[in-house]
Amino acid sequence: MRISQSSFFSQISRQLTDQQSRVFQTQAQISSGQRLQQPADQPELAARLHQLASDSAVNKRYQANLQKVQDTYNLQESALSNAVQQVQRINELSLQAANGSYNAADRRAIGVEVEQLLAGLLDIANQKGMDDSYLFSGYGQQLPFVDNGNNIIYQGSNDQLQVLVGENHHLQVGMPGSLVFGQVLHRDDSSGTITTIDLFTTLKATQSALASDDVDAVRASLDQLSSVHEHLVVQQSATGSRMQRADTLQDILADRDQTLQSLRSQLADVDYIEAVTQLKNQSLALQAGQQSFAQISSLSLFNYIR
Amino acid sequence: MTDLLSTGISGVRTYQVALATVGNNITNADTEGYSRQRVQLVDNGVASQGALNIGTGVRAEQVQRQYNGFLAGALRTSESQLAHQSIAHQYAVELENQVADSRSNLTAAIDSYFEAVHELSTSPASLSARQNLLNVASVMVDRCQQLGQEMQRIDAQSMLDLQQNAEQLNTLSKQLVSVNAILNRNSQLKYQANDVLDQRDVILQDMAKLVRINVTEQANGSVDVYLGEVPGSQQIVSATRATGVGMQGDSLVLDPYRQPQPLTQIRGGSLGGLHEFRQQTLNSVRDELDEVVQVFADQVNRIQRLGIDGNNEFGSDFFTFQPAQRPLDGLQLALTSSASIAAGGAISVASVAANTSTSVIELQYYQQPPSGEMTLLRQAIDIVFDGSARQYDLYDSNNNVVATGNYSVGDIITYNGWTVALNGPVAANDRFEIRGNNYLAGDNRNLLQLANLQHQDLFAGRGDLTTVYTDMVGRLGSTVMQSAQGREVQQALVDQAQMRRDNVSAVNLDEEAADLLRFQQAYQASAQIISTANKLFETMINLG
Repeated sequence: MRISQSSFFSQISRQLTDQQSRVFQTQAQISSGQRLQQPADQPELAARLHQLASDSAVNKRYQANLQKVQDTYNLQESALSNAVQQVQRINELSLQAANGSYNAADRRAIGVEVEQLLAGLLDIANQKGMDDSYLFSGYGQQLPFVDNGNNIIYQGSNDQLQVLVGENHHLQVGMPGSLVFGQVLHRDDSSGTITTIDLFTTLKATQSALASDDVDAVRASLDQLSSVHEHLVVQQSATGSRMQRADTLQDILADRDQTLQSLRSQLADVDYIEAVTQLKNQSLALQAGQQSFAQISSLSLFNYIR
Repeated sequence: MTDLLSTGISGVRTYQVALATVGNNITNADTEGYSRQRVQLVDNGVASQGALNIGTGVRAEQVQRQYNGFLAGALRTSESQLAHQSIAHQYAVELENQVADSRSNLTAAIDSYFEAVHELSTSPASLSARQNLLNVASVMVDRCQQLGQEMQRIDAQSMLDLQQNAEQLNTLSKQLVSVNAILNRNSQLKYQANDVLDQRDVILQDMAKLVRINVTEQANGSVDVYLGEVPGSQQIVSATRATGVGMQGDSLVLDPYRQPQPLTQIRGGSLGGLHEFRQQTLNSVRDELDEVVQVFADQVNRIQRLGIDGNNEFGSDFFTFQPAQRPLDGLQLALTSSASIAAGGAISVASVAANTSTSVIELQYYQQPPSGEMTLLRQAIDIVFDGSARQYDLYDSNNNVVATGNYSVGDIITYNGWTVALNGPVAANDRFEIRGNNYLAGDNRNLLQLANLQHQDLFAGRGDLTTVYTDMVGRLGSTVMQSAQGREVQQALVDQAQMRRDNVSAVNLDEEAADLLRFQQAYQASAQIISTANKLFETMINLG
């Protein structure tokens, strides 16, 4: 076989360049910690990482959405728990006032306390939640409950804000004030019929009965007050079960996030032991190539013709 | 005696030629396309003296060029394939790095848009979230334009390469015609100058790197060159004429200035590689990028138009396209104010409290009314069942019946573009209300629709936006892999072909060194013959 002088040199230099670029690529992987320097190096891996990055971003988004939902649930829960305490105190006071041994002055004093408690309830109902928006206003953004002197009027909307926490998976987050404070189910003990009464109307009536020392009216309102109390407790426990559901969902999303992260890391991160070994092998091969080239290239018959 | 002298002289002369040839080989050892030369030595014939036949020395018959046309052709073919794969690979890599880059790719931009939609949907009343969506959309548009500019750059660069390669091919064709003219002065190959033939082969090899050529060699060594697969078609070099190739629009044509013929089957070489890259890889990637952007913008616009914006009106288009531009390059933000984001739903439905049944009305979806008049969507309509609960009338706000229908459980009711379903059996005289919404700051219903777009199959079974884009990146990736493998295989084939050609034609310096010694010794020996003849002559003279 006749070996040409020029292709001998060009082939060896190409092989040395190839080896050198492999060494540099491994070195770049080690110093960056990333298996992929540019997508074209390993297109399949790039496509896979591309999909993973997108999945991971979406999952993180749902986690963030769910976190906001949980924050709102927490605020609702504590607001409702406060409201339950206020109503319970009103119930206790009304029960005392219904007692025949109390006189008009006592009832007026109780009436003043109930008025304060009612004002506290109004504050709770107008409480703000996330992002400076009201907790119980539906889609509306103006003050949900307004005291017009005679009564406390709801001016929010009846809608329930929903938040996406998965593909086509909504969680109901909003609690419109009209539902929480306006639709108290009450069974009339004498007639047995079920009607819907308004919390603030009921409490206002109790308060004015106390103020006007109308014992019969106070007694009559006791049943309704206990319905109001029960309603709020039901709302509170409904929020509690929503919170549990959200917690479970958050765990699932966190697991998925973990899975996606570790998958990404398995695919994208450099295995240092493997990479360093590879670098060692490649440098050795490059060195051997260089040395053998130096030796072979000095071989020439002309060296011996004197 | 005189014969011995002339025999010696023939040796000295001949080995001078042989040494000169070896010298030429050595000095041209690195000359591209140089074919090793060998002196053909022949016996000078005999001088007959009666019964004696005495040889009369040696002569150099011919300086032969060591060449095998078949091996040269095989090398050309593999060089063609290598050049094809190399340039196709080089461009595919550049394209891949643009569309699959983890920071600048289109999915990342679209994902960030939906991210902002989600952000706003969880805090619909937040003005900063509203403004953020608009800002993110504007960044997304910028990214599309940047990617579009990269696509244009790759397009223009590959086009320029094509033109330059075509011009190189035309220059080589003209040079080959000049070589043909020189070769045509002789009718026989053996009279042709070796360097002219080498020059011819260098030109052919350079041409093969540009495009796959078919070569026909004439008896005197002049060549005809064809591009066509069919023998004898699409000739670019004849004995006297070079026919140019050039670009006409987006395609390569033969003879662009006289009788243009399309070169659709152009294969091999960098021209073939560029042609294939542009026709197959680049075009399909750009088409798919455009499709993704177009579908995304159209769908966002469709939903935006169904929602209620901050001015209590139906939304207007979110995105628009500059006319006469590809969608990717021409995408623009149409909204100028964050108040124009249509976050709210247009329709609410409710069962009337007085209904006998507990049937719940559910808004399944709504779309543009058949008449195209969007305001009809917000028209207040009551669905009122008759005494049998199997028939219903639709009333407008003036209590006029606008439509009637029959109903059985599970039916949907459609009017004015909306579609509702009733959950559970209805009772006689049940009434359900459809009401148009006014703007409410906390309403996020339309944003939920918008956010859902991200996971919808918007491409007739091919998947959602991310999937379609990822599939495209995957296909481009396998093109990159294939061309990389193809390039390696072709490099190996070129090396083999080069070795086979070198085995015949290349200069090996060790071999030449040996020849140098060999011919030097033969020369010295021939000189010794002359010296001997001289001594014999002197002996004769001294006798006298």
